[in-house]
Amino acid sequence: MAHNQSQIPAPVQAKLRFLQEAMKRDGLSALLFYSTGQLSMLEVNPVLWLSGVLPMGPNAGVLLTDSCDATMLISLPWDQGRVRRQTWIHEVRVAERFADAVQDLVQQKSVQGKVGIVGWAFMPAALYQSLQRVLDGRVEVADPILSTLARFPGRESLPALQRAAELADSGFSAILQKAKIGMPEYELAAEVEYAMRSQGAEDNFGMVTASDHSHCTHPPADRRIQPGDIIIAEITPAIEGHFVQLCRTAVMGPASPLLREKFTILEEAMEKSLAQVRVGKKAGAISRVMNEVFTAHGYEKYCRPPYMRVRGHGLGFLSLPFSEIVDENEAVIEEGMCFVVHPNQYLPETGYLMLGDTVLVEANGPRRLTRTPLKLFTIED
Amino acid sequence: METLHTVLNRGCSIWDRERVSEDEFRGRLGHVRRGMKERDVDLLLVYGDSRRFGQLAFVSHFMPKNRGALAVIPRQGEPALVVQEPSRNNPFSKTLTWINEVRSVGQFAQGLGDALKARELKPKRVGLVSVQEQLNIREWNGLAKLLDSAELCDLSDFLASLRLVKSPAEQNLLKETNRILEQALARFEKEARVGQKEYEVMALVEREARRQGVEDFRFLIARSSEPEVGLRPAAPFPIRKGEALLVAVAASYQRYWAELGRTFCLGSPSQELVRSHNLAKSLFRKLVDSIKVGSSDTGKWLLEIPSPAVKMCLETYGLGNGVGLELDEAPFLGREGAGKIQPGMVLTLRVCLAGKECGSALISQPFLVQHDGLQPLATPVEELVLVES
Repeated sequence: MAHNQSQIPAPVQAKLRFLQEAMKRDGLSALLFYSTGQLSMLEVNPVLWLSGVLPMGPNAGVLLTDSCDATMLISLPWDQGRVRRQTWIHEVRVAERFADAVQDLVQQKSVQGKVGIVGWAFMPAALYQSLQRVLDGRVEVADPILSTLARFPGRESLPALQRAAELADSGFSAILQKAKIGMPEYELAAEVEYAMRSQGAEDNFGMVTASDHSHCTHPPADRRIQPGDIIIAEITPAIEGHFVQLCRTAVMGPASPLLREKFTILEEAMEKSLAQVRVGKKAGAISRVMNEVFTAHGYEKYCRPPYMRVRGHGLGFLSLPFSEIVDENEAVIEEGMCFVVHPNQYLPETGYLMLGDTVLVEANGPRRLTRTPLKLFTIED
Repeated sequence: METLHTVLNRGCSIWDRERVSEDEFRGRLGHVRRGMKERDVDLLLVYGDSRRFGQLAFVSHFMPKNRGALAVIPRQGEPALVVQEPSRNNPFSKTLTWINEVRSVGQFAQGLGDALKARELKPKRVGLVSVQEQLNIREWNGLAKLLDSAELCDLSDFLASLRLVKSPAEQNLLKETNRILEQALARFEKEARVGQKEYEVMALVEREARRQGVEDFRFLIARSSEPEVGLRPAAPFPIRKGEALLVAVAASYQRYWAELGRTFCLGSPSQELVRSHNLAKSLFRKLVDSIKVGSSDTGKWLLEIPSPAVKMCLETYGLGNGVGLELDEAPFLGREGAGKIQPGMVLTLRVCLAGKECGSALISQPFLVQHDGLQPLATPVEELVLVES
């Protein structure tokens, strides 16, 4: 179905122009934006990015022809009403057998040439093989198109990012207010979740654990909080498809001098690595500086697996400047990028400690999106 | 019933050995190996991801939190579990499974290769369960290369068949998940207010469930005031007086899922709403009556429904399905090839009417199939739930 250009939101029109150019450049007759039902915070979701909606069910896709005719394929018939309400795409079809539906669509739209798959990396093998078969091998990997286009959230996303950051602050505040001696970890995590979900968080990549010596952050277990426990929290709410992450550490009761001393290393690493977040610098510099701080304090061994590797990352679903902040990352930092910087670190004396914030790169440096102070917190029961 | 997946299974993540013992898994392993022998398979690979982990959890009890894991089951010797995760997560992952050998890797081919090497195993015939259906093509290409000299066969249906009838331990876990969901829905009845945003009341319901140790929680809502939209995640829309609120909740506890669905109304319901719910109630009773041990045509009674819209709506949402390690698993009621109803199956039965021409009502309840009929696993609530506002 042809689209009335005036009804397509301006940011989508810009995307369509870029995609049309990319198809022409790469010799593609159409693009299939694909998303499996398993969602990842560390990826741009191709279907949401283009259509503006995250359908339920195992498979979703948008077929975009080189004339910018878009058709959406979803899995669940009862999700049609919601999808239609949220997307600019007029034609929404329910696909019981996804590959067959793509084949029908390709035939109906007279797509003669190659179809680029955006979202190939997450496509189940059986589905990819079916598409290869029904399209007579006319499929190509087109993930680089999206990774090139979706590196920035865009100015229009700033209110959502700011709102997500406020929710992350609320989530951490819940830890400070609700954590009690004897409370199981999972109950505390439920309070964090409630603080954010009750204000509209769509999802949360959230892990809250309490221990006298953590080796990593993980979903909560049934351990009951003890005096002196170190609570580590990775909190990542989403608003309008944008995730913002905050990592912090709190201790139940007064912090020992040793813990205070060790936490200052994380604070130093955070400060020095944020100084590397500058337009024109390479992302790998953030990681290298972080590792240098820990190395200078005698923890070089602990900057490598099995202890640590990644020092930050992009956050999906709608933009991703790069996937991982590691020493080798040669990507150049640009204004408007958004990612999390976290000198989270396992130290043999204290266990795993967390500190990190999502930053938006501005012309003169990084803007931290959350307001929670970058410090070690103490909780008096 | 399908819901919107989350980026992380972030609820209580433990293996409760008192509720499901290692013996339970050793028993399952015995059944699996007998099937492998009958099919001349010398290695079985069982995959699961954070969205669908039923087959994987059946053999391992492991639940991937945000990526996937692969159980490696040779005909003899101990199995291994390959988990895609940073190596620092390995000690935690080991707490979630009875399998001692847990390999934390970046790529599955690496972990599988190491596991086979440690066993000096060069499999000739490899059974695959949920591998090609769920594992992404990039990872699959690595596995396929590693196994290029082996004959591959899909054993997903075989493993699913072992999961149809639930053991006493599984039945107890399903009862517990249902108990938690009942309490969560009771919270909805207690807390829902006119003017409240959908996500505000959803958060209260979710907290109730998470406080009781669920691993994951789902909430869907549909409203009579927007008949063009079906069950969907909670939104910022305020709740209104007198409308039907169709609420479906689901959660997993110790890997076992349950689903409950009820219709709420704040204030006095209209006659139309009452009629709609009475229709749903009568259809639900027909559905319950149609489930008999040995029957396979559980959707036959749909033919008697005069309204095409009602019939279509029932088929769209499904009359029900098995429930256990997945929220929707075999048998799928009313569908071709659903198989015979057997004692020991646990079923979610569902009547959902949501649309312009079929009214607004939801009844979704769990039942254990017994020789002499269906035993409800949750307090039967087939009435429209009226909430004082």
